[in-house]
Amino acid sequence: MMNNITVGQYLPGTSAVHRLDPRVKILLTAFYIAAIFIAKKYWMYAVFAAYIIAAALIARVPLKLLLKSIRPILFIVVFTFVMNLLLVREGNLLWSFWKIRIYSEGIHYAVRLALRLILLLFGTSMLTFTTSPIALTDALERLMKPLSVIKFPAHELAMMMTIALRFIPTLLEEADKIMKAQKARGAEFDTGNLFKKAKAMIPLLVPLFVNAFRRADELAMAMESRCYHGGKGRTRLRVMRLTYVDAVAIGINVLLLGLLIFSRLI
Amino acid sequence: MTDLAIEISDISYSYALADGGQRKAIDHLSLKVEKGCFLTVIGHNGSGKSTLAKMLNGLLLPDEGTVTVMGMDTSREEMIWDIRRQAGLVFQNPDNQMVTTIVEEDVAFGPENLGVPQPQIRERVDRALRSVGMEAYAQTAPHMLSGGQKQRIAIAGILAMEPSILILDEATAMLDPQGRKDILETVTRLKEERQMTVIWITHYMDEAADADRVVVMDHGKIVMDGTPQEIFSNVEEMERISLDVPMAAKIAKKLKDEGIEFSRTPVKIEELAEKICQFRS
Repeated sequence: MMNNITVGQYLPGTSAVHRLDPRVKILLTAFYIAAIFIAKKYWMYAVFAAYIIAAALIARVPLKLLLKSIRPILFIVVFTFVMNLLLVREGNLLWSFWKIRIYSEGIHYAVRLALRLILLLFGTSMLTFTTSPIALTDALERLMKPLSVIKFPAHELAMMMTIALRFIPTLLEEADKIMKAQKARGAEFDTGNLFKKAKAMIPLLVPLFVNAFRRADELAMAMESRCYHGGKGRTRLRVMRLTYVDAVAIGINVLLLGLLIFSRLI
Repeated sequence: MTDLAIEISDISYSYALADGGQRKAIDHLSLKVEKGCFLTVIGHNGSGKSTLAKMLNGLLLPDEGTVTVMGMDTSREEMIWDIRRQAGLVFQNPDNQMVTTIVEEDVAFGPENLGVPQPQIRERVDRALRSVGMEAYAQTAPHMLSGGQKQRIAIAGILAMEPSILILDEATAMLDPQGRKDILETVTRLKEERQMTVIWITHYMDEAADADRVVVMDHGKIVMDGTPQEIFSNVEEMERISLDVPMAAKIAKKLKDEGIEFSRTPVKIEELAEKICQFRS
C-alpha cells in the first residue's frame, strides 16, 4: 500500500507540456495567475479556460482529474460567490426580498471571482500534474539564484525541499510499521473521541521523531562523505535548456498577453 | 608515492558519554593497508570498527595519532574533500544515505558536489549504474527498491566520485541473505575491475572468506591480523573473544582434533567438501 505513494500529484508523461522547461512552466503559471486576476471580460475567461483545457489535452491529463482539483476550495468558491452576491450594492437593483437585495454588479463580481478561483486551481494543478516535485524544486532553486546576492538561501531551501520529498515515503512507511507494531500490542488508533485519538498518537509520534533525528544524523554524515559542502561550486546532472517547445509556449503566452491588453482597452 | 592506501599510526579515540565520562572506542591502534588489498575488518558491535570507518575519511579525527589516506593526513582541513573523494564510505542503512527522489540524481550527488562538469557527470553516473547492474532503475524512486538494490545504488553513488578506496561499514547488516551475497559479489568484482582498495567492515564471519587479509577488532584494538586461513584456523582465539568462525573452519578443527589434518584450513563449505573428497581417495 505504501509502495505506490507519490508525493504531490505528478502524472508522469512525455508530452510537450511535460517537456517544457520547469522554469518556463513556473514563470508562465505566475503570468497566468496574474492575467486571470487582471482580466475582466467574460470572453477572456473563456480564452484562458480554452488555453488550460488545450494544455490538459496535450498533456493527456484527464479532464475529470482537472475538475476534481477544485474540490479542496469548492467551499471558498461557493462562500465568496454568495458573499459577493449579497453584499455588493452597485448597479441596478434586480431583485429584493426581505433584507436580501441583489444588484446586477453583485452578480458580475460573484461570477468573476468564482471563475478566477476555478481557473487559478486549474492552472496550478496543471503545473503540478505535469512537473515532478524534484524538477519543480530544481527550477525554483535556479529561478531564485539571483536572490543569493541579498543572501537569500535559495540552494539551502531547495536542498531541504528535496530531502523532505525524499523522506516522506520513508517516514510514512515507518509510521505504518510502528502503527502495526503498536496495534499488535493492543493500541487503538481509531476509537474514542478526538482527544482520545490524539492521545493515542503519542506512542506513534515519539518513536517516529526519535528515528527521524537518527536518520537526519546519519544522512548528514553520508552527505559529508560524498563531499557535500553547500551550494558553492556545485554542478548539476540535470541540464535545463530552453527548447523549441518553450519558445512555442512563450509565444502562445505573448498572444494571450496581447489579447488581455486588448480586452482591457476596449 | 608509497604503496600504502591507508596508514594508521597509533590512534586513540574516546566518545564523551552523557554522564560526563568517556568511553574509549579506539585504543592505540595501528594499521597499514596496501593499495589493491581487499581487507575485511571483523568484530563485535562496540569493538570500534564503525568508529574506525569514520576515521578513514575524516568524519572523525583521532584524539591521538594520525590517519593518512593516499598520502594525505586527515587532520589537514584543506585536504578533507580530496580525502573523501579518494576514500568513499558506504553506510549500513541504505535509506539514510540517499538524498534525492530519483536514483540517477542520487548517484550524481557526489560528482555534483565535486563540481564535475555536466557531460562528465552523465558519463560517470551511467558507468557507475552499469557497474552495479542497476542501469534499468535510473529513473526509479529509491523507496521503490529492495534493500539490496538501494545498497547497490549507494555504492554507485560512491563509485561516481571515482574513489581509489571503497569502505563499506556493515553495508550488508540490514540485508537479507540474497542481498548480502549480491553486494559482496558486486564489490569483489568492482575491486578487480577498478583496481580499488576495499575495506569491508562486518560482523558476519563468512563474508571474510574471500578477503586478501582479515583484521579482527576487539575493545578498540586489533587482536588478530592475517589471511582468512590463518585467522580461522585459530578457533580457540576466535572463541575467546566470542566470535564465531565459519562452519567449514569449525568442522576442519574438529577433524583435526580427531587426527585428520589439512595442509590449509578451509574457510568455505565447498573447499572443505573438496578436501574431504581428496582425503578419502
